[in-house]
Amino acid sequence: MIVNESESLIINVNNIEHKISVKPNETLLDVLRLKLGIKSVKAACWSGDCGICTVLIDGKPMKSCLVLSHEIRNKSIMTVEGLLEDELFQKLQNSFVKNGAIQCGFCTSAFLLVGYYLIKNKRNLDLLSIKKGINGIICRCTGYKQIIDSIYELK
Amino acid sequence: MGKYVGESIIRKDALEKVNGTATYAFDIDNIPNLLIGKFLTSPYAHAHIRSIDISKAEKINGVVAIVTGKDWPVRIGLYAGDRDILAVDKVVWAGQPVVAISAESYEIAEKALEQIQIEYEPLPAIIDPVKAKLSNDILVHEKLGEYEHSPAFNPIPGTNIANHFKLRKGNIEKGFKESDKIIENTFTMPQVAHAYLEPIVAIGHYKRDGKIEIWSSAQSPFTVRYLMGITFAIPTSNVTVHAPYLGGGFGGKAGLNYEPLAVLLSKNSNYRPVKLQLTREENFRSAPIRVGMVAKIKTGVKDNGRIIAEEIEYIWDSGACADYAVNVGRAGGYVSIGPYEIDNIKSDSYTLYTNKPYATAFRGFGHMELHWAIERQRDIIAKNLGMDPIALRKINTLKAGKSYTANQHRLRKDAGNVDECLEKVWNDLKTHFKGKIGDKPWLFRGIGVSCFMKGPAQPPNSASSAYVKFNEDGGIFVSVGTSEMGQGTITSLAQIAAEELSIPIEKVYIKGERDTDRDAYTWQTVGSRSLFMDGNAVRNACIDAKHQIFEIASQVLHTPPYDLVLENESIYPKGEPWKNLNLVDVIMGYMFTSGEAIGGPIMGHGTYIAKMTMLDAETGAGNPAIFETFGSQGVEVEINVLTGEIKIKRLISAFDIGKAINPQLCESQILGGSIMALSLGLNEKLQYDEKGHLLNPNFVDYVLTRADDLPDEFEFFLVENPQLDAPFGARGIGELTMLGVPAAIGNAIANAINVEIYDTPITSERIWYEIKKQRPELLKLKEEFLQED
Amino acid sequence: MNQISHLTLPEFKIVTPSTLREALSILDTNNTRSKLLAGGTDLLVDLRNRTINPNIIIDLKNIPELNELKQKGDIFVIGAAVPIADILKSKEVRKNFHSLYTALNEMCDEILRFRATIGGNLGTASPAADTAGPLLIHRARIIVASKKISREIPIQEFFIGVKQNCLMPNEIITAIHIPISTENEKSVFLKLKRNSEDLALIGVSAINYNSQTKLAFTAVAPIPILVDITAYISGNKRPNEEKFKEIWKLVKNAISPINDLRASREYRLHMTEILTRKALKEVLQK
Repeated sequence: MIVNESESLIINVNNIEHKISVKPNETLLDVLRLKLGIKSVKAACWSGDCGICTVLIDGKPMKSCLVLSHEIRNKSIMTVEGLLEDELFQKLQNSFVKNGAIQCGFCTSAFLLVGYYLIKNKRNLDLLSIKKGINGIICRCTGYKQIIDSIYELK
Repeated sequence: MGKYVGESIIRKDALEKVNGTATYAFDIDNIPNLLIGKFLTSPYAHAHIRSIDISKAEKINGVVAIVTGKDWPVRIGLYAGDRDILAVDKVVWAGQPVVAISAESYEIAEKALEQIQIEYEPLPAIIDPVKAKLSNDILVHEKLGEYEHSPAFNPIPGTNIANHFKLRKGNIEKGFKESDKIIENTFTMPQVAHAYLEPIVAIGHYKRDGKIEIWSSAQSPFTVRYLMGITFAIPTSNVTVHAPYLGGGFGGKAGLNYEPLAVLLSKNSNYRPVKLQLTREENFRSAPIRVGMVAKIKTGVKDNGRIIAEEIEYIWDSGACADYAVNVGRAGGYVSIGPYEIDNIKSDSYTLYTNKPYATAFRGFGHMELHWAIERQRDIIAKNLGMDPIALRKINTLKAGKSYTANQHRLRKDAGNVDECLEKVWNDLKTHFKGKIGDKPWLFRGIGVSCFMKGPAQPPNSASSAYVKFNEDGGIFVSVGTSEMGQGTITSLAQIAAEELSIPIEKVYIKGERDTDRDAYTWQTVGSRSLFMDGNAVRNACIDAKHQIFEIASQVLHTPPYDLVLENESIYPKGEPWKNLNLVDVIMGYMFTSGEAIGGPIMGHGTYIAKMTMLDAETGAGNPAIFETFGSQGVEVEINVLTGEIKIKRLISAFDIGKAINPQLCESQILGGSIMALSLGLNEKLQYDEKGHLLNPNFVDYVLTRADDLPDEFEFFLVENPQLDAPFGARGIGELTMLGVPAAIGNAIANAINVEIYDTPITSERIWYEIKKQRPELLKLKEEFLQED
Repeated sequence: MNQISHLTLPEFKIVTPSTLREALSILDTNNTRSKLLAGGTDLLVDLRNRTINPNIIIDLKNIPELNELKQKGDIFVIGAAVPIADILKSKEVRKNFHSLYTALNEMCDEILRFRATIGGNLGTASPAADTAGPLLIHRARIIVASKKISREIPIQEFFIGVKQNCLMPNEIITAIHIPISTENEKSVFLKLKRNSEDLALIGVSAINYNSQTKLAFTAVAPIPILVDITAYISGNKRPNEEKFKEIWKLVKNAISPINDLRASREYRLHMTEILTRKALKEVLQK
């Protein structure tokens, strides 16, 4: 099936099914921010370098500026908005707040999502594996240490 | 001290930020009839514009307006009007906007830009600031003499010099004559990018009624308001600026940037609002960056370590427009020699125009650059004299209450103590330093330290204000003008209010987003000034509110106001807490049982204005700052001499901040600032080709420190010698956290391998190159390396 | 052409074939106007920068043949569209191809590795492709298919120039085949970076197996370079300084590093020598 013009697509974002019309050249980032108004997802480079547009696709962190909307057919997308009632996620939020891991906040959502992924999926999570796990996201304010500590605290 | 001041209170903006609900200018797209703005930039660093053909682009469906420089040829700028909103006759840097479009969507705007044809007549460009000073063959601004500029600056028409600041003290010739040794070196730091994550965003709405409304990622919304009024020749009061949360600023959003272009587009788009949002590449090429520096230092010193003469030339590479760079040159000029007392000084600080992106403020405001030079020079002097670098420093440092600063102003008695910071850092480094570790002969370890000072570079009449408004439940709304860009000042300001009014911190409401109509005025959110300036204003507003409360309470309690106490939300006569009145019963006006009411809703207001002087044009003498924060930083490094690779093992900081209002926020600033400085010191440089094209406008080749690059260990010390006119004694810290890191690294490298580094970034390649030049014998170790176990 | 920094992607059609046959047939009729999508980590950047302007994007991720990751006899098969993160989970890869495992572990960042693929890394044919060196020393073969035929390309014939490979426009890389050695094989991959997250300034790979010693170099020539140094090594022992100088002469003649904004030619040469020494240390005995 060749998709040409706008086509309607059913996507699951934060456990809600959305039927939306998208063009092939729209990215997941465009869909989330512009079509669905999910603004916790930020962007800063549109090239996969800064990582702050990261979302969870079927539970795995991926940079949404590098994903075409048509690739997410039948997949489940999770952003901060969808995890606000999740107990582990809340603990991680509290850990960020308590440890001073937040400054300007522009990268915070991405770090929370990747931190959540790491805690859920990695056994024996040590400081080095946290550093490697978040190395794809740039933070210019915090110097990372308090972010690393916040994730480590919940391993 | 108090209940809230000195406590690590949770940031006021923390919950919004972890919940993803904090709103940035980047997020705003729900303004009715919003259009997208986009601009086309010059591919040349220097060229005449011959013609602009917009005829094809105009016909594209969905294009609303196309504007060029001639549509509003007003020159803008912070201290000098040297920047066109869109280039008018010629372009002065590659990346300068020439034509702008408003359209219904990005697709349309981008397509339309492709259809615009601009013909240029390329001119030779001046890229090197040293050459720009030496030669007037190429002028970035031929009309420099016609530009308006602030009287604090001294541009020289017919040259590329945007400002020349002079500092003179004693007799420099005599000083050198009396010196036992004279040591001369040149140090450089390149232009760098702020690399804040939220790109520059400006939404402009020029309305039919002549009012302007702006949403901007601006650090200084009141300055934007003021300059927008001038730019569009309308009253300041007709301009409203909203500055929501900022996704980082670091000085890069301090001035007036793309607000005029967004408003101009709106004006020409049937008064529809227009959003300009820069891509990362546009942000690198077209938004302001940080100055580069070349420092030539000649120091005369006695054999006993006393520095008696220093002659300095600073060249600040401002790029195509002066913006804050003239003030960086000025501040760099009056702090020329760092935190030292030297009797004979001759320093010339030049801000130079070149055909590169324009430079603005950057966290540290020239002080990281100048301390890179000064503090490397201090270690080189110590080595020449065979002295301990700390001992040399302590002979020469500024002493509070006694010494005069470089600009001949007596340092106040409660100014803080640089020696104490130095000792803390040095002792910690020395205690933990084990010297060479392991048996790898090509790995070397060393420690290095630096010290520094900085105060806010602001005009003598820089002012702040605040108001405190009580709500029915006894909660207060605190309004200030300072922006929240991550640094956390609003939380500290809330703590000051809670402390002063003795109300629970949870009942203090303070917003992170600014609105120039609603909020109290402040000059700008720059220079680590907010805690001191706005902190004093908040405190004064609380004192004013308290007076009003006591005025009412005194009538109820039949006690004179000066005998009343406000504590834990109740008011009572001193010593008689049982005769109390609930605060909540007073703040909206008090009603007696008879129904008779007095007072009214409480609203306190407070101001604070800087106490400084103008500086003498010939000598630089005067009081340039309301405070100086002193500090010291040190590192332990490990160098692999075969590869030049450097590892930062430990990073230690100490600052005399007077009082830590919120220790955790201080820690956050220290961690974040020192890592930013590490990134700048080791990696960052804007690279240009010989024609002035930026080669690395992205996060692949503009290399930033990431999580896996962190030093193994951090340590920091907060020294608290309070300043009497500061809110609870506190001085600013935000910028200080960066200033000493690059120099400490340079000094530690020299300590480890006896190789001197003069330029940043200190990449592995640079270290290897200097080893090859200065100690080639070390590279022979590669033979041993191949055979070792 | 005006220099515009785009936020949008250009217009294209997208097709998501579920069989290889379907994909090959679409590619066959549209080969000059189409681009293949595996992980998209390069593709989307190129689209945004308008360095490519395809009419059709063929999404290969749903094709079973391209998603295999398994041992077949003495060959290990890595499907071209398997995300790097999944390859890294394979115990066989970790055990048998140490240098490849290291290269994958050093490639981009962990988040991108959920998307990036080995097929994409090779298809892009960057001189700095991290997997190229390890695949060269491990004697990999690249399996490609077109509508008419499929063929195996020895990796050393695959790269033909900067960002150019020997694929025909109607061919798709379906998998990489790597022989599993029964010999006592030791391999290593070393990468020079400016910080913890960077493209390779230099990649040096080395292998010693069955008394053969080979080196491979990436990012120091227009294409990845394989250098057989077996003749200079005896008894799996490290060369002495004299012998190393001969090896280095051979290598130096084979590579041609450039000056660019990431590093100078001089530093690249120096570091290639140092990393070659290090690589030999690790794969040979003292």
